[in-house]
Amino acid sequence: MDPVYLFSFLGLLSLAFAYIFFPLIPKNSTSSSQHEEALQNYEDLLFQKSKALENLMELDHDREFGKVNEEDYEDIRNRLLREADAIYQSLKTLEQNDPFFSELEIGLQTKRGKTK
Amino acid sequence: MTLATALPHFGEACLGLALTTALLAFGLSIAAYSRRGSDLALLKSAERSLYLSTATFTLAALVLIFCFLTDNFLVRYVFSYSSSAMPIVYKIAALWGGQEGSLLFWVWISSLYGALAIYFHRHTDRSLIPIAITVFSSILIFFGFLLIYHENPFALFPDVPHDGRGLNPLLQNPSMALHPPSLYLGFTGMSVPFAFAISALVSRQLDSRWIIASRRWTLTAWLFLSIGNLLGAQWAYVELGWGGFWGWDPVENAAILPWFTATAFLHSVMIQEKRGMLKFWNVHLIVISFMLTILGTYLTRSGVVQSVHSFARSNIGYFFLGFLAITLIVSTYLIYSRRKDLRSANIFESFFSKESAFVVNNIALVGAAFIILWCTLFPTASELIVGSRVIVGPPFFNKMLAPLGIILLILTGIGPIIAWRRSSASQFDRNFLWPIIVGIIAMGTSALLGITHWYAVLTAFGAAFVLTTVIEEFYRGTLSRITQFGEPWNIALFRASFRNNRKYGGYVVHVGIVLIFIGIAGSLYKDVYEFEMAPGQTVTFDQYSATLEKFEDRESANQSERYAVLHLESDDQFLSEVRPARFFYKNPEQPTTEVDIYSRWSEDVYFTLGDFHSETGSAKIQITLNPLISLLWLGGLILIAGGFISMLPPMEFQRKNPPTKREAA
Repeated sequence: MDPVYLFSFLGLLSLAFAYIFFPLIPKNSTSSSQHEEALQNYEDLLFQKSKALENLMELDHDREFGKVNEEDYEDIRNRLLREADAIYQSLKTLEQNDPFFSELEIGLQTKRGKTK
Repeated sequence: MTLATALPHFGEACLGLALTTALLAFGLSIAAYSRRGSDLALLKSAERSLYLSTATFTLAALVLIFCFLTDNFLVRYVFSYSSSAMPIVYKIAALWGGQEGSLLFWVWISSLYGALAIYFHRHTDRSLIPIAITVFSSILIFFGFLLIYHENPFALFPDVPHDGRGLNPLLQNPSMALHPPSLYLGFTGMSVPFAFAISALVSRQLDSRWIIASRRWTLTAWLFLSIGNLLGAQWAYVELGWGGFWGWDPVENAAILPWFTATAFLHSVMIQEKRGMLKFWNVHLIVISFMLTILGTYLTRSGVVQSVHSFARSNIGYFFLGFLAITLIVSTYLIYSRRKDLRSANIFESFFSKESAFVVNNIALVGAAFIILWCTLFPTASELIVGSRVIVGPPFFNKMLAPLGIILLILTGIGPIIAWRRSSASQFDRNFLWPIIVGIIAMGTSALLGITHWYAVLTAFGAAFVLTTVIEEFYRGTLSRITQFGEPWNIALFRASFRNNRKYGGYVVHVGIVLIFIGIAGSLYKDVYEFEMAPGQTVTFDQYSATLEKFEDRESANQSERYAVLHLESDDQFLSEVRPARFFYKNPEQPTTEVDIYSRWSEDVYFTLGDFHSETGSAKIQITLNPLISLLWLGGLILIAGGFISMLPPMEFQRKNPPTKREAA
């Protein structure tokens, strides 16, 4: 192979490796895995909450369109409300007990204060 | 070294770099996962490796396209599938005309999907990212190895040949320029939900997260599979000259198989989202869909099945079988070791519920996929076991699949009008009354029109039943908004549809499916006429007459063309001039049949020019009447439109402020 091409290739290869391994250079940053986990639990609960609300709305539509009778409607609605309440309680517990959310709240308040 | 010789070397270097970076992505992602994602730097490096692998696969593909565009016949692959006289569009399409280019194209799109999926989900689904990168990079490593060590698209000749061999003339068709990319986008797109599913299984995060992450990607892959299959059917209809659109050819079957399982998943995933059920089944469906895409590629590429579509064959089948075996073993182990985490959160409350309808729909769809797979592999299996190839022909496929098709069609109507959890018998009557009445009227009308084939009669019932349920759903949704918000009907219809576009987009897909079923039912009443015609001769068939005016010869750089010019009339009214033709390609030397179609909504009059007899100056002309086939293509377009609507994010509409007193006055 032509040495010019060989060196060009090696040069490109070095650049590629530099690009890949640059994030591994030690920096003064803290691990955020716990925060990530808390956030993901939170996101999952938020998804469940939106689904619970969607289910309630859909049940109302089904009743309006005559797909469920009154008796079934009441029974299913009560069950869905209980499920939604359980999700809401879990969300509340997570927000109150996880230090990440308290830190986040303090951070947000500080930011709001600075903006003001 | 000239540019012509340097570029292929550069392409090879790109492939080498792509493989190296894919290997790095694999190692770094496993290292990042083993540290439970706590080392974000490792994960970042893994992401970067995957991006770089994608970039270099992209460069390699672009280099090969450039070699095609510049007629670089020094490259063996360019020589084999292109020639200087070929139009530019087919020079680009030649990228996927043969084995090596197809594999490069496959891995290129696959890498793009992987990089995009990781990029868009890197913050929202960080816990799924490490193993998702491992899965994507495994796929890239497999194809990278194949390309570098077995199917090098940049292999060179020692001397430059004068001209290339040219692309197979059957592939020189506009549908063929779009059909393979669409199918490949569908096939490779299934790797995204597969990667997220495997990641969820490995990390035991089997809640809704992977479902949300992969939902839109699955729909994208499904949409491209639909487009690809429709374009394939269109290509078979206009290019192969046999008057049909689907011949149950093994390669066609391979393309439709993942469509069935992906369709099943798109329905069953709703049960998981709504009720936390069928988790075990859903991961199976995704793994099966992904494996079917690999199996499809294997069937097309290995030559184990005999097909009119097998444009590229080699002995890479064993590698694909190995890859399939590894996927099967790893996935099976993961699913069964996590079976406790995959238990349903709820139970079926009633047979009369949407969940039950979806489960029956899943059984029918997966059953259809299984029948197609079994019938496709049966000739190969029989050859292995008894030593002779037992061919399973289209009549057998039709016989086996027609009842399942009717069940699926009727379920398409049942699903939307019953409630989740349970529907009471009295409500059942109320919702089903009109669709059943309209269905019976349609069945009676079709019988009066002389339609007696059981499949066509039941299709008439099913189609009317489904269309009525869809109209009912749109009507009720619109009426609800008119009542609640006082909106005009057109605004109410638009807002009802686009506020819940996933549901209403699905209904549009159902309308498309209905039209496709009608088109298929129409093919039962296909009529074929064959005539030996000389110029000046007139023939009559059904309500038409056709006069052969003349034969016309044309010459172009790539092919000689012979046209039969016919005048088509009906009730002494001139309808159209039709020009079926035979093309004789020079490079490669091969004849093709170019049909001409006079199309109206009720039927296609389909002309095929057969052999020319110089001693009598006549030629065989085949005329096929294809009733209702235009509805099949229209249905396909509606299905695609519905798929796009379902993919859009839901729109939020603000209620208009009530008019002020002054405005009211």
